[in-house]
Amino acid sequence: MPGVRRSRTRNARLRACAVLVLASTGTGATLLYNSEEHKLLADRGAAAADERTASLPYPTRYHGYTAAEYVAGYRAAKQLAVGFQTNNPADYSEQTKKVQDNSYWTGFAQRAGNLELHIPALAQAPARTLVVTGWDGTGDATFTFGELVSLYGDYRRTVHCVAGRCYLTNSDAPKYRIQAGTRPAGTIHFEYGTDCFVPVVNCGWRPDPVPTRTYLRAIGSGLWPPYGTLGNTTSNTAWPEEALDAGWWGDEMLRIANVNDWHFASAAVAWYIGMHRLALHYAILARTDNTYWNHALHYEASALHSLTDLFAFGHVVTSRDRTSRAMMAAEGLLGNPAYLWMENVIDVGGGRRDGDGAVALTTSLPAIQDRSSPRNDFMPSYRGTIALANRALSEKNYHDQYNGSGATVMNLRRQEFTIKGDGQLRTTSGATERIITETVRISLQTLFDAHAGNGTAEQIGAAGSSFFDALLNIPVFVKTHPEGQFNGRWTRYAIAVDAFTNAAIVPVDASACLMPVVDGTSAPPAGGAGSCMTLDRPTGASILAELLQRNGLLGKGDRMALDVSGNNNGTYDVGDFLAWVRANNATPADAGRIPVNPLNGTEP
Amino acid sequence: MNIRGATRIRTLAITLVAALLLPGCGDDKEPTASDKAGQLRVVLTTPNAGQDGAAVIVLNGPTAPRNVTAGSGLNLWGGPVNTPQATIALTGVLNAGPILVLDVDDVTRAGEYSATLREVSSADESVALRTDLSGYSLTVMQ
Repeated sequence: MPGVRRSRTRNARLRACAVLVLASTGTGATLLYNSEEHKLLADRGAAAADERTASLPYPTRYHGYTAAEYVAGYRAAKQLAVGFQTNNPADYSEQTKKVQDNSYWTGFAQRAGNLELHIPALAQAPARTLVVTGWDGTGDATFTFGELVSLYGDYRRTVHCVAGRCYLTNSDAPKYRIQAGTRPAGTIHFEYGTDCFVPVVNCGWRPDPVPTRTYLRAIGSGLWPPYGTLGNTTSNTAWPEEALDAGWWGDEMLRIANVNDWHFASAAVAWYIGMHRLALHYAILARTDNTYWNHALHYEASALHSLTDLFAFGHVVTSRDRTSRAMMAAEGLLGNPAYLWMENVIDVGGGRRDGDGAVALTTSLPAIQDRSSPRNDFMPSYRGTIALANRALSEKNYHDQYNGSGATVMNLRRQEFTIKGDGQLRTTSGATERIITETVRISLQTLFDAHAGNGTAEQIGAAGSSFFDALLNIPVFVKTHPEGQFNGRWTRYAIAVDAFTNAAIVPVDASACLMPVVDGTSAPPAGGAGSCMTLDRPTGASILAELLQRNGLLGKGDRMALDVSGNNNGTYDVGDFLAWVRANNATPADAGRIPVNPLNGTEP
Repeated sequence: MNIRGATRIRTLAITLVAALLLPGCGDDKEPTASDKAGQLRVVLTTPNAGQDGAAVIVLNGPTAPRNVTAGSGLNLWGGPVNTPQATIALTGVLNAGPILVLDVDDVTRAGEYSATLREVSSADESVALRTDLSGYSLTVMQ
């Protein structure tokens, strides 16, 4: 019932009823990598990029934070959330005051996530940090690029930039309908406390108000904002216009998570391509007006959120496009300007929705054209009907299940690595982490390269352009999966990405071994199946033939893999061949039998 | 034997030997292919002697060489060469001097053979591609 669902939930009886009525629908956020993981991966990748000729518009810049300064951002987020700064949940105390999660009812669900907010080691901090300005409601604040990658997608759907200013909030001025008085703009407020639910008395539990930028940085560093155990299935924590209430951000996270199809499977690829093409467009505009760098970096952050999502197996397997589309339709949001802006991104990325809402990829790309986006991108994207809620619940479960199981996958560079999912970056192999951060670096690097070069956006943003080489890194082939449901199968986006990148790795008969659609209406296949196909590695014979004859026996992904392990000059050449010979102790007599190593992706 | 007689015998012998050695004298047979077969050397001139570790070389000739072998300490990749034009690679420390030996049918056509460097890589760990090949050359000679 909309009137109930959209109301604040300070009424225990309402909560009890909601539990009884909707316990079967389930709730919870379908996020991928937790925000602290997104931040770390993106900041480490950005640190390795070469800004070349770019003159970034201060305060956007590369900054030399010390490792301690960088990690302090995570510590501050965890302190605000749960009152301690370690990775040991036993350090938590319910008696600590001025802590976010101690000032909300125990019925709020975010505490479980906040207790696990992982603070990286000093050694994991990037050597330098790309910081980007963003408008937080009262002024230009700076965020790390990784914080923006975290925020876009999970906490903000659209990118809205005007004249070099990119907005992270829907408005500057607050409107409060429950609390008395008007809160100062740009300051986030918290609940009243677990023992005094009145608007005036401060019992000491709630944290002091913090600037919006501080709270957004904390979210971007892994803080989970408040949301109830039932999510927003029946009600919200804050009114829609109360963006300065901490709970609003939890509500918004759930509203977005209901319909976040652009984080999954083919839709995620289309979103990345679309946003990256637009980011390239703005990086080129920055040749004459460097304030466009802010546009480019915000768009790129949104692009990379979806791209890095694809390193979680739950996001590779699960599709959310049909359900998300149906929910938006059920809520009457298909004509919403923010949604139309998002659909344009998918369109610019080569994504095409069928009548059922499923997104398929094409290499036929339209002209790069941004669409005017509203600063206020609020959309009441709730779960609609019980049937849709159940579909979403199934998709959440698939997401969780496959993130949990993980898989050994391969990309178009033939790198073989294991991926997992949410909250598991800390246990992910160094090889996998390097591939993800390198993906970020490559993508961001192409913005700097585009800016330094002479090509037009249409030229470098065309299918087959090397400015999409980051796509060579994403998982496209499932080598083995613990439950045996997808062994030897190609992702549904593999053929399109192969063509889009000119990788020439995916065989012509790959369509016989595609992963099935898995969503709320299509259950996964039975497990225990054998491998449908193998992704054979080329031998030394083809490596040599490519060097001597340039005959295309090696795909682009193979050539780039050899280059990376050789002289890394952007092309496969005799130096790379020499490196391969040395690495394999190859001789002319046996070279033909030696496979190309998976190189950097080899699991230790 | 007087001196005059000895001189005459010596002149005759020289004439006979010369007739045997000079083409068209004393024998009507044309020289066979095997008579002309032999080896040609491909000699490298380099500004980075001992510092390069690999090269790609394009060979051209009137006919395919019978055999191509790498110089001392080098490995040849891309053999056997069985076409008049061929691209091969060498790995190993590249010093100035002979780096390839071509067994050819007709060494008298040495001038029709050529060898060109297409790519050169440094031998150190960087395996850097030499972007400037000025100062490098290959010469085919007997």
